[in-house]
Amino acid sequence: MASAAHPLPHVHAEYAQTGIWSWLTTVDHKRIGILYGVTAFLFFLLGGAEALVMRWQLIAPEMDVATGKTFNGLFTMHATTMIFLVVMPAGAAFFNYMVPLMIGARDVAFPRLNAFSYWVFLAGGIFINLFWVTSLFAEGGLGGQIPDAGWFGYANLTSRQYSPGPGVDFWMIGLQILGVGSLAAGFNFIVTILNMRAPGMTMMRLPVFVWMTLVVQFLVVFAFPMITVGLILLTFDRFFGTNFYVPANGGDPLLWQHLFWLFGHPEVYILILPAMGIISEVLPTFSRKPLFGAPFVIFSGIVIGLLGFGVWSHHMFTTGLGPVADSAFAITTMLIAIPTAVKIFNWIATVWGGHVVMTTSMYFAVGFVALFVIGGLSGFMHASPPIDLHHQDSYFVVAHIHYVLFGGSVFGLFAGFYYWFPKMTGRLMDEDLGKIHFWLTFLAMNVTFFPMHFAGVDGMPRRIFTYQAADGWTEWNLISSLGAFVLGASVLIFIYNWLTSLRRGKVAGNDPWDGATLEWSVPSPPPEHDFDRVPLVTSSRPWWDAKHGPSHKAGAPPALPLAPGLAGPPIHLPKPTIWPLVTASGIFVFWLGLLAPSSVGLYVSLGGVGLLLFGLYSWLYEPLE
Amino acid sequence: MLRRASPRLASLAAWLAPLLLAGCAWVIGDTEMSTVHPTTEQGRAIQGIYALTTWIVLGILVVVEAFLLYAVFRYRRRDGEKGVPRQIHGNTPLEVGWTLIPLVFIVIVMVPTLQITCALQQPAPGPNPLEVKVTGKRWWFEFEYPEYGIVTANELHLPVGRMANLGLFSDNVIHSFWVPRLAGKRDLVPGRTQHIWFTPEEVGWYDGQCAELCGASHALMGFKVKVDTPDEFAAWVAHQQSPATVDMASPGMQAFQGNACFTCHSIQGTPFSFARIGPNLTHVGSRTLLAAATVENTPENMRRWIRNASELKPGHASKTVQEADLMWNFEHVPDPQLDALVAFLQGLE
Repeated sequence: MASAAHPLPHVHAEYAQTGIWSWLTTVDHKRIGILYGVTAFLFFLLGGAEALVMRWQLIAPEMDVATGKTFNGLFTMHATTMIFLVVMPAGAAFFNYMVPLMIGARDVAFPRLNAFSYWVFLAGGIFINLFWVTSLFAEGGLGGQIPDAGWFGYANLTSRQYSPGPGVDFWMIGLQILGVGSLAAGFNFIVTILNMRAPGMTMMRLPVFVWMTLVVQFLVVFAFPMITVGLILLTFDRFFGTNFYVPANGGDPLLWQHLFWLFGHPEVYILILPAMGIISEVLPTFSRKPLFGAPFVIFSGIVIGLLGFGVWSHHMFTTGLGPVADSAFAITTMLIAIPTAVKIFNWIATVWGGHVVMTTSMYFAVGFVALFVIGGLSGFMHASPPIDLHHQDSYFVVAHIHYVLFGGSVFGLFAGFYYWFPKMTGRLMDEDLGKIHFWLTFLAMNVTFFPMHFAGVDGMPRRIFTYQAADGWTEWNLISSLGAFVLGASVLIFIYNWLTSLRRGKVAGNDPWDGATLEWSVPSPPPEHDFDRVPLVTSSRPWWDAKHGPSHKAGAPPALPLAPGLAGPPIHLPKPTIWPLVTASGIFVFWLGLLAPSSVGLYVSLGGVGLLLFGLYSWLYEPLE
Repeated sequence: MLRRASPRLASLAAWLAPLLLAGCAWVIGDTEMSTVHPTTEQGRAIQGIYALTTWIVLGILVVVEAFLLYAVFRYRRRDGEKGVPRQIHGNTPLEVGWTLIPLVFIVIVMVPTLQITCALQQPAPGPNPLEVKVTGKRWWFEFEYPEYGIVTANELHLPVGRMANLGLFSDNVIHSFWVPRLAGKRDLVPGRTQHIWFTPEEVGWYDGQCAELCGASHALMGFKVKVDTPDEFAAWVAHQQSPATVDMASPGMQAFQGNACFTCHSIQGTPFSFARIGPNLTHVGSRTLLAAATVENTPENMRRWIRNASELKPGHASKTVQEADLMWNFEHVPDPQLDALVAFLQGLE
């Protein structure tokens, strides 16, 4: 990192920027953001590989690549990985790196809690994937213990009776651990955004990306407790013989569905709102205009978040909840189309009348709008319960979810990656390779997922490991599979571009895109303390106004007004510490005890508790700087 | 490279291809499981709202994508263009307008949606429906006709023109009953009773499949519906009601007893008519398919199935107590005994 080379005389303490130990102990929001991003990308490769095995199995009727339990495991892990270990942490990577820079802060409110969130996330991600290791030593070999009850884990298929192996345990406990990290990060970012804004940055001057981050954190804080409750009941059912979901003993499997989707639908917005926030930054920058109707975009995001808690049973139209419940949830679900449409119209109006600069980031942002519209409209279709009686659990829904999660979330994240890469590294991504990456991804994405609409209309149920030629689904599956392999290849181009640009990319400078928000006013990559002097914010586009506003004199370097009283040294930066990592590993070890052989399990768990308390105690006594 | 090959044409084609494909959807969807070729009144009600919504959605799609593309192409920064465009922050009448436009479409779709949603979930209307109890098993469907005292598996016979009222149950995990050409799907939730009803109008065979993940062989939990003429149906009922005529001393029956098949399977007309764990075999020889519509019912396939069920359907043959409801692999049965057993079962027509 280049910033390490510059002495910072007014910074109170400077901490090591290289070496593994510096990464294990870092509490710098930028480095934690990078950790989140790189980890998410590695999981992206794993989840993508799982998808490719499935597409290989489905490329023709009655293939024998991965059948039955293994195939069920692959789609379970593909979805779990992509949702919890890729899109959520990739969003967190941008929250971490960008939110403090965009609000004029020097770090998040609780830097150590931030490190703890990341380490807990990593612990949960590893825990879910532990079956890859344990199954090597068990009957069935590689992947033999893969969780195979679906990412939605419907009771009572997840009961000990119908899922006897440890696979579901890894999944269930891994999710529980991830929830701890998400909740900690959620509170951290709410406090950061509400309390750490630079002087003058009122709520309505917050960049839209920061607003969407804030909405997402509230969704996390209110939605994750639902799945926590659901998972605790499941843990008790599986380990301690309770009957919350066991119908034979008076339990109700539908209880899980309500708890899960009460979390699961807000989760959908947890996945898409960060991408919406990113393109609300990218589209204005490359149209060289402010975001059209920014307050409407912001309030639409809030309304989507609120309505997201009132639509969960549209995942349950086929369970027979009755006409009143089905009608109510159909109405709330369709209403979400309004704020979503408002956002899309405002994005188009942002481009309208601009000087549109088609960078790779802009390509992905425009691609986001184009593809998300398709996914949004197909979602509007199955908001209608009668239509959903056909769409539910068919390939039509597989197409829908990939248009919103790949065409939407992942395209938004790519847009953000190309947009902020120069800020994070000081170098530009290669634009030619970037555009090849975009076109290959865009075309392959449509080739892969669009035919799934047709397979669904033709009656292909989802989550089936095989089909017969007589079913008439062969062609759609062949096309989808070929598209998926090209999609896989497009990721290789992205990796090549990323790695070469990191070393040899053109030097970016502070502000390669003529940006409007505060992060473009600091060096690339930003120094450890972000801002030499805290700016005074007087508009929603402080850095744009510094360059193009009436007070700026032609030829003079742009300058932000400085916040009175906050400008001077020394700058206090929190000291790196290992204890968040130790505390997080205590949680990991504690849960591991539940899965260890019963003779040692209790001791392992107690050891985990000890580690957790020791980590927490040491953390509290660690000096702040 | 892309720049030279007319980027506008290339990108235009890329954006339009999905739309063109969409137009084909209604032409091509003529599979056995097609969701857009309903043959019942209930199915046509769904089809009505489905088609309306699809056309509205496609219309919106074309208009929105056209605006997006126009904006991106029309307002591209020209070579040498300097300075900044007019900085417009918003327009309240526009915002109000495009908040109301989606509301109009929502109302257009909502009204018929609510009507059909309510109509589909009324108790079965009409006099004298045929009641059938459908039970989801791992991984097959049991059909019981209380009116006639018949229990059969995987092939549901219904008379044309008489309303069928299916009660949906499960005694294990959640399944979903789906015969797209007859009706939308409805889940079989253990501990609950659901109903689905429709009046078959066209004689013939219909494909159905379980549509809720239910374990390793979820993909192989198919079934068939045969809509009969009233005469055919009466004949089928009479045949199903007749007990099997079995020589208890025959080698096949001996094999049936000796391998304890009766623990799970029943044959009416023999002492072994009590088990309800596996499919009822009284008339198994007359069924067209085997192992929940996985393979055709031939002696060879039946032999394969008994010998090595887990080869045909993954997840079977577990010998733990928890999985006592699954077909075993009878690997130890000597060949002559197995041949006799298959011949015996095929003879149960």
